[in-house]
Amino acid sequence: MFFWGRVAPQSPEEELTPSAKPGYIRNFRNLNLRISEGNSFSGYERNPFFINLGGKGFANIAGLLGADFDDDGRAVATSDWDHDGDLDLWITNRTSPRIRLVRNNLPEHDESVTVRLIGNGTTTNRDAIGARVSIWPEGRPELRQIRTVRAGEGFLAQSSSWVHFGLGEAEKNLSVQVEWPAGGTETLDGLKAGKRYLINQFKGAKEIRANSPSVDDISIPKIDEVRQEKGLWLANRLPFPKLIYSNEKGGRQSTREFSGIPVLVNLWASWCEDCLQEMSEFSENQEKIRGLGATILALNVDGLTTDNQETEALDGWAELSRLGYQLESGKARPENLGKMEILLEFLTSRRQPLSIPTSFLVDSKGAVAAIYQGIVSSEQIISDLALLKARSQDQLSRLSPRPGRWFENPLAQDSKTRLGDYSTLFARNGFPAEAEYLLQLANPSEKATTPQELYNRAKIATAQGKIEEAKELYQAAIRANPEYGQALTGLGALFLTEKRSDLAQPLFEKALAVDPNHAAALINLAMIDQSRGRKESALEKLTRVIKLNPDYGAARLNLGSLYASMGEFPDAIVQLKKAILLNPKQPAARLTLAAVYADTKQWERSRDLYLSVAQSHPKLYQSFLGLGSIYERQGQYLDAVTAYQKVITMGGRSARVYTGIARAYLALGQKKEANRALEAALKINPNYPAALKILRAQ
Amino acid sequence: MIGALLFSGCSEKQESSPSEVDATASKEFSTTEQAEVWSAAVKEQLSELAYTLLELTEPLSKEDSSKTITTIDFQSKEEKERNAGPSILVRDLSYSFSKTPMGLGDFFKEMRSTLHFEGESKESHLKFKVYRVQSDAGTLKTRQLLTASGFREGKNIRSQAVVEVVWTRPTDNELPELLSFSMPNLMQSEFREKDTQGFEDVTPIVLGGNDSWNQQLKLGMNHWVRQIDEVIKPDFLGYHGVALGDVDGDGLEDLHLCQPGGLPNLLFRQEKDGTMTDISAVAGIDWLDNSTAALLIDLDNDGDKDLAVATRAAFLILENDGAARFTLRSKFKGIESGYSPTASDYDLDGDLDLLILRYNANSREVGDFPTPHPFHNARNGGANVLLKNEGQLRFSDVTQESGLGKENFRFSFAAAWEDYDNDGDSDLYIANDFGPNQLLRNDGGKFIDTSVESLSQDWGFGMSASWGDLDRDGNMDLYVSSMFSGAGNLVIPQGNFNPSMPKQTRQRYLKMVRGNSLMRNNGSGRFTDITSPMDEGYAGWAWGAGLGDFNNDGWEDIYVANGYISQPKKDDL
Repeated sequence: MFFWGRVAPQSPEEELTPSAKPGYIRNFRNLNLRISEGNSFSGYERNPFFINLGGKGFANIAGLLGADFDDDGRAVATSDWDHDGDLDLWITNRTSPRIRLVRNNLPEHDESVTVRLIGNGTTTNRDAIGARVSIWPEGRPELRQIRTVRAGEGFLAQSSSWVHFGLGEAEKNLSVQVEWPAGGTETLDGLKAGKRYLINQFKGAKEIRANSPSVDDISIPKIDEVRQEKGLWLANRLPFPKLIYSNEKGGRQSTREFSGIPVLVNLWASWCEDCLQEMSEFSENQEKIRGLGATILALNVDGLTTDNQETEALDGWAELSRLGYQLESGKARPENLGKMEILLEFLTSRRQPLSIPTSFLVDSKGAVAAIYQGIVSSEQIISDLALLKARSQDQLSRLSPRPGRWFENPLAQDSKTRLGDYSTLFARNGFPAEAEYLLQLANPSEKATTPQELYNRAKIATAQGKIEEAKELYQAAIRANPEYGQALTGLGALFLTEKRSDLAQPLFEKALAVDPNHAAALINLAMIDQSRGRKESALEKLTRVIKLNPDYGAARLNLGSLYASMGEFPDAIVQLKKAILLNPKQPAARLTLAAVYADTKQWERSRDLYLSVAQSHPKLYQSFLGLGSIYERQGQYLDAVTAYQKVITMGGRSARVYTGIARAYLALGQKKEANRALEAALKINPNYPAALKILRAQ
Repeated sequence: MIGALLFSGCSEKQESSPSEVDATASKEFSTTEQAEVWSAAVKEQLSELAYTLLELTEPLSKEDSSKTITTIDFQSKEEKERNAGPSILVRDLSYSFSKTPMGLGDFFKEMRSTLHFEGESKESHLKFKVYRVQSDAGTLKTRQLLTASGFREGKNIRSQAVVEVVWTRPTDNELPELLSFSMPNLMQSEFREKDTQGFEDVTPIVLGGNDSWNQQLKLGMNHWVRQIDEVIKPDFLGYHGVALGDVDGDGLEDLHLCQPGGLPNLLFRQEKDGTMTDISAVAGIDWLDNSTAALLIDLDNDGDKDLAVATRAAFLILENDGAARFTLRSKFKGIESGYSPTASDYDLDGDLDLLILRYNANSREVGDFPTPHPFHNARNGGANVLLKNEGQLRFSDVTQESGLGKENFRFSFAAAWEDYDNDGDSDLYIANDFGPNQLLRNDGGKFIDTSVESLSQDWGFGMSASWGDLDRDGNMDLYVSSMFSGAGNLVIPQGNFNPSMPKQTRQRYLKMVRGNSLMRNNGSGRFTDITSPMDEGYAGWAWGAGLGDFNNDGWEDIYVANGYISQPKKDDL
């Protein structure tokens, strides 16, 4: 549904310039993301077998035949592999197993004939590719069947070069005609069903004895199933993110402190059997590892993961002690796990939660060389430690899980763009400081040069609050590529936050000229429209954005606010609810919806939402402002005062708040406090109508 | 009113979409979303129905016993036996619609009997796959494919039918209720003799003695992408093919498998006892670069099978010394990530030439989804290459002069050569993703694009191309894999699916999700699409097809490999 509901409808009719249509591209990227998160896409489908119903149609009987595998199948090649006269199947799959040989055990064997053609090698290619072969029962050419010899057909497949004919009946004598490519035509008689023939160009047919392997006599070899995963060895090492964790005394420590020596960062939990087993082996080998000039940092993740909450977590430190572990240890913090997941996502394009145990081998320069998901043997670690400083040629064989030869050395790959992408991934996922650090670490004096690099840096700077720097970087990106839609909107958004819509608007319009469906440009222009009272125009733009990007939370939020400002409360509620579903952690949609509920007198709902924001974002005063108003309505004046005062302590002083306090105190009969509040209100805004009204009433 | 602040102009961070939609909306915001909600509700009810039909042993609830539905007249059954060869029985059952309603309990009984769910067999199963949802004057109409497996006296009976159901409209609190169940045609298949054997997976017997089976081939891409650095392209999408050929001249065909980046390509020699031995390293073909497909063909006419293999880095040609030892002779670095290489003597000069397809324009990108522009007629794909054999394993690029350079920007996945016009030379059909396929007629070594006049364009997601004379009229017909999407069929007809789309384009989109195509060659250069969409057209997300007469009855059958991406989270995107 995601693909057809989201991706396909957006496709432009006409061809695009590469920089245009970020929405369409975004949705394809979204699709990629969902798949990387482990979702299926047309998965678990059963292969069909379409039996030809005598030339009058087909029926799928794969289930009946036992050939309805639900693998992610890819290539199909046919061959009479066991030479019993009927065709078997070789199938390759994306999933396990990657190849299947499916033997045909149907009872009709002898009612067939198989021929292999050999060209003369001069006028006609030896494999006789392109030859047309026809077969018919002697004297009955009207019953002919035709085949062509091919090399490659179907998808990624080359079937057997033996040409197979099913005959329906075990015909006594057959005639065969061969049209050799550029080599003339000949007809041979006297071939018999149930046999295999070699046909040499104009040299006659020779019967070949079938090889009949007695496969049923072979037993499946018993192979030891224990598989040692060697872990993922990086082709180009990436800087390991900085992890700040807690030591036993609760103090802060950083992985940066290990610079200069290789360290194996191991994530473990005390409730995890595998981890304890692994830790025990680490302890046994710790002297050896220390002797190699390396160490292990065991980071405990008890309480941080979602699995296994029910068992009582043992005391991590005590466990280490019990196991005799004496190398480095610490207690992981939640952000550490987030960073590890980002690193893994970058390396594997899979966005999945960390499994425990997972270990990272970091070299003496702070770059990660290998990642082990699951238990890793100390033997493997010691071997890999020795490999860290080896020449790249020696590391080449470690790169592939199985031995082989490279045509193109994978170590000679471009690493600069990669590093940029790597750091951007951190920036996009809420770690801008890390992103900045990683970029600097790798390119200390490198200046961003390409538009993409400049854009990435601009985003990092924005996330860090360095607005002036961000503006310069966006402008540089735009100079390098004047049609760079995302840079245009990025800069425009910055101007908007500075309330310079006059500077922002032309930028958004330019982005829209490059791509009429550019979502961010549309949203921002809608906001400008709204601020100028052009609500219908804003509505049109936002509706358009959402049709193209139904999951764009910010668009939903803006549209919801717009509807609310137009008094269209039911529509506002629909949009805001959706915005909340899309971004449950963000407060803006909840605050807006709470205000709408208040406007439509749904006090309970409004209060509950404000309370939820107050809890999740205790530093935002807006929720308390809203609560104050609701408490007033419901006659809970003391609560109202408390709420309003909280707003003030949080820096939200305004005439409105003070007036609210005044009203509440009045209702409580506390005239003195009420007047004091009124004074404060009028001091801020001497013309505040609500305050003046109360004053006059006294 | 709190205004919304947007700090970043274009937030790249995407939040995942929830599956629920606020069903209390004052107006339907998007029909696509509505279709999703309804189809989820219907699927739930169909699951319930399947369960009831399979497991029904207790009497019905009081409520259910009084319900009636309109359905077929089970007594009106007419049977027609089809020609499926001597050992397989295929029957078409047809029913007329009954004017009188039937009690729900009786309906369940009749269905169980029809599908052969009597008795204790725990191996029976029943599935409904919904592919059309329409809203119609206060009711909901759905179309689904029913597949079932039952048993009669121990013999397996399989059933398949297109079923049309009418439901009440679902609301917030109520699931749709069954009003009418129409099943005009039912196909049933079984073996005539009870102990007939079908197909059997013998892979562990044949390959099991090899380390590369146990440590490499037995693990799928879901595993390997977590073990191999993405930069060396272990292609998650699994585009790795198979080639059969006798590499050591002993008369037994051997097996070549392409593998993902980081894992070696494999060559297995067939032994007399039928098992296979891994000779990859000794043969010198164990390339670790991501490889898509290969050919085992005699390129120098010296009597043994040489190897042509498409890797991400280059297209490689290796010479066989006759004893299955291969030496690298030609490397085409400009031809990266080739798809479905095929060989043909297109210029009839006695040696094999090579056609190599390209999918992505940036052919070093592997494992990601492309972004086709536009979706249904993409022209930003890669350029295919035709290599002319100049002898002694030297080749020259003749793409332009042969005429294949025109319109050479498609996402080409598969090709198959055939003399479809019976004039003595090999013509070419190319299956393209996100657009029309191409039929190129060979006129004395020059290719003329006859895609349009021949009516063989088959707009869609072309993934596989196969020739075969399926109706035995002396002309080679075409079978092309594409994609049947239940979701696509659900969504595309809805008015709100890209409402500004021109009608012709919408038809194209619908065609794209209709499934595989069977195109009959009428002998005068034209093809007719004779696909029966719910029979040989219905193959899911289909990949390679293999044509052959598997039951030796004189009529070629079709086997298709399907399924795109199966992962632990089974719910489809």
